Amino acid sequence: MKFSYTLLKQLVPRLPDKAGFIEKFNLHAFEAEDTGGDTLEISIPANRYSDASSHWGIAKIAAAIFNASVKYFGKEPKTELKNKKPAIKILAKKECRSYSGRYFEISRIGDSPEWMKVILRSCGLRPINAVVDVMNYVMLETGQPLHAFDANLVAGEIGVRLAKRGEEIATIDGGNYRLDGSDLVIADEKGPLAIAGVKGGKRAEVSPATRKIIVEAANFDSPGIYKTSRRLNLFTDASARFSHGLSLALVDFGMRRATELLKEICKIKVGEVTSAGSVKEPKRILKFDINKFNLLAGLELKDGVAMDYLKRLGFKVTGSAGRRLVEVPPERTDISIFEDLAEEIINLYGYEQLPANPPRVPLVPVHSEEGVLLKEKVREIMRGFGLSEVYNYSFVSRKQLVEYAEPKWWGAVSLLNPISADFQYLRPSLTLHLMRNIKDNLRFYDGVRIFEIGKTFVDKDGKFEEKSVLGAAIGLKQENPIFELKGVINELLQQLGLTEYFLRDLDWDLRFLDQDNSLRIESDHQVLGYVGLPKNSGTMAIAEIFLDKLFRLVEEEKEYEPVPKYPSIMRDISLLVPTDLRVNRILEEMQRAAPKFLDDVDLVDFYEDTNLKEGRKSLTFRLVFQADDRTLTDEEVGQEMEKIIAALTEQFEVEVR
Amino acid sequence: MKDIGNLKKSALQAVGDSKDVKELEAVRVRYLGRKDGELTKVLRSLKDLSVAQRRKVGSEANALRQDLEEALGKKLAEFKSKSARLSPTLDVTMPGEKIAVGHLHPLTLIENRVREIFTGLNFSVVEGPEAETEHYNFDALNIPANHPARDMWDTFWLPESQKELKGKNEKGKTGERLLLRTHTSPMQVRYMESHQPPFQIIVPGRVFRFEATDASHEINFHQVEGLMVGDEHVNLSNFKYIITEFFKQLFGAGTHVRFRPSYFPFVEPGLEVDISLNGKWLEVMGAGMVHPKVFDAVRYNPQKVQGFAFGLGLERLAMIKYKIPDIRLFYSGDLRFINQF
Repeated sequence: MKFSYTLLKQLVPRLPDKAGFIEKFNLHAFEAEDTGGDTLEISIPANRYSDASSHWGIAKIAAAIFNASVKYFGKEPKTELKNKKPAIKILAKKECRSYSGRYFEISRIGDSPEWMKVILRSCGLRPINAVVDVMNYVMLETGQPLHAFDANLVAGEIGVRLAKRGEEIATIDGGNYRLDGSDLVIADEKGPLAIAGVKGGKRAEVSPATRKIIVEAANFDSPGIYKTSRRLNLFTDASARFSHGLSLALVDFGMRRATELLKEICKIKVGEVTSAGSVKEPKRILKFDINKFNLLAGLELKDGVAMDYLKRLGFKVTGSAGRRLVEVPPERTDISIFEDLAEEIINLYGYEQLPANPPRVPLVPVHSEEGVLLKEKVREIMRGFGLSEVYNYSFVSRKQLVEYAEPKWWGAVSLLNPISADFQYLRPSLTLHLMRNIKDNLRFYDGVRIFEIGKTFVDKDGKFEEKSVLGAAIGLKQENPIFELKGVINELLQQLGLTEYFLRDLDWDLRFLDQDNSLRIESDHQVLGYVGLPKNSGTMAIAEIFLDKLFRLVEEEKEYEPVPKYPSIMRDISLLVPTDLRVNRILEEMQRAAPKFLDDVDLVDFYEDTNLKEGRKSLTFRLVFQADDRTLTDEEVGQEMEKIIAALTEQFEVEVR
Repeated sequence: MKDIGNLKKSALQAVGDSKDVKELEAVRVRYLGRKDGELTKVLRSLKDLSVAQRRKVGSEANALRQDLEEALGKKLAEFKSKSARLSPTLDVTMPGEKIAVGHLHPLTLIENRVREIFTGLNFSVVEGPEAETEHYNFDALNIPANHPARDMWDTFWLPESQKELKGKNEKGKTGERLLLRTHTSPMQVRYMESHQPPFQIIVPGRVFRFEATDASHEINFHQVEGLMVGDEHVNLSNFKYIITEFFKQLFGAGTHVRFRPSYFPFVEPGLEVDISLNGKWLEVMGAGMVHPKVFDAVRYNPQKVQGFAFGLGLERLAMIKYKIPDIRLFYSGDLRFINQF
């Protein structure tokens, strides 16, 4: 909010220069900044509009900081036009807490004086004419929004009521608004004169020809004004103040100050005031105990010092140390509990003076959630394998989704208020961004190895699911990266301590994957994720692992297994097999044929060649045989090999080479 | 058909006689070459033999292949070690081999560091959901509906909310609407609901704001929430100690830390923390003593407990620490950026 340093200095003559004021104000009150010239930008906290969205309010705080005094304007005016007052009625009592109107007669409306124009401009307002300028100026000075109507154009009684649905109003800024049953209006017999607390209407606008005036000062229920202002997308200096909530005390203060200035500047004749609703905030008295304050702050402040700070801010203090009663100034609507008073004192005392003391608490051991530790471990392992970590947006576009399937298939959740089409859906999978990352980075690298850990979101049969997922992708310009990624996944799972898991045929309708060249990762009858080749993506492999499931399966404890006492025996076997026979099936068959001594099988060579028979590929396996209690003889191993070969030739169309 | 024994003799001889890697490779091709290797031809011809012959010759030939491969491997290793250690022309200033390494994202690095420091200060680490209810994100944190205070957190709303809203509105309850959490503060409430003080926690996590992006604003970013609650001896001066210590460990012992008043509805008193960098004060944290209404919402007795809470933005810390000029770089997925860390 913009403020005029000149006006602040008028209100607090002992105020230091601009820079000195800003520095202290930042440390003891709100954020303030010099925006050049006479103007200051001060951030008013959302709970302080009632007392501080005005020069008078800022001046009071400044006076407390610098231990100075504030000049006070707004004497009770003399009424010159007896029995001339507006007829006012509040029909919406909940929405309008207070409404005052005063009648004036004026002989001429000229310009406002130069000093007032300077201050208006410093605060970002445009001078219009003396009457309108006084209304605006008094709002800047006191914080109470005011409005002036041309009394001749008001038909009958002024009423404060809820708008009729569909009722329309033309505002003084040239706008036209259709109102709702929840909007509050100031109206006469003919209809709305103003959107209450937001903007005045054109019909009874004050013009140079105006000779009779009604000035209103009111107090409205803040949620209503806030809603109307948002719904109409109409934000004004008045609506900002009313939306945050103002004190009833400002109504009378604003009216007095406006009357004083109109008299001084426009030689106006003052009529009587009509007030409807309540005019006073109820008294608020809080208990204050200095010991409690010192416990909260970690200070040893004397009661007298603390009370002095409160008094400087306009609080009235009675009672004795330890049992103080503190009366809150009526415009301080933010103060309702002891802690609020504590804040006032600590702010004026200053955090610079506050000591920094180590806490004295029972020592309770720290722990990190298992999920946190798992993620940390996964990151370290993946990094060790040469994969770099990316962070992507939690949002995807419709376009990204439909490249593979409709949003409904993905279970993608659309935001109610997306910021743009690029970010319309919550990501149902990490895949989409990772594939894009690979493509983008392959412009600069021959090989790209990346992973991401993040949340995915899906609507599963009407139930919202948030999952923690690891995504990994490898893209290589020269070769197919699937085996590297498969190796990464294998080693990751083993290093995490997952003992039993299987990579099986995908058999799962993942539309972005090439079904025949993708596998699912399974453990304990649960699907942990997948690894495979995405459709139409060139030389890129991708995997996702569901971390919520994984961390329930991993066993932290590793258990020692005796190192084999006896040597193992290795045999290689080369097979000529049909190209569509998968290695997985051969391995399974081998294990089944010789479960006792076959310890490990590895594929050591693979080739397809024109020299081979059509539709065949050559596979060479290295088989490791091992017994726990003796060295196996050649003969025993020979028998095992026979069993294996027999089983293979029976099951598949294979030739031993 | 050549005699396997002779073949073996000549092959092993040839391996022994070869003088460098090149010669050795020639020997390998002569005997084991895929097309015309002498032993390969023997192996290939097996299929034309009778079963008995096949078994005999086959096993001999296979044994020879193993022997030969072993001899080749040994000899190669010998050459390699010689060339590396003994070559008179070795130039040790030649570049070392390129070791493939991965890089952690700078936000992970900064989060790790933050966790490490706070763990050292006896804070535990917990996490919470990114999709939250209006209750945890706002209501329980004393952020009233229909008040401009809520504008401090521009919110993405989730569609379930509408369904829920219709059902609940009749009873006047709106707290179950779903949204993307706008801060990590909801975990204050969730944690206190299921734990009793004393405790110290931090909550790292992703948060969301409905706002236009620029060099310093993103629609998703990361925060770390902190909460320390105990009896009446957990006070503001303790907060000042913990936070000063934190920033000094993060940015160096000479770091200047400044505390000044601020407003957040879920703390009272509320304050903000700045650190000084190149003579400029940078806002890095919002904080305060936990508001009694928050304690009420989790059924603690505000007369008996006291504590402080704080929140910081990880992107901001990373930008300061690593001199990163634009927040959008974090989400670019560009390895030319990430691999610098």
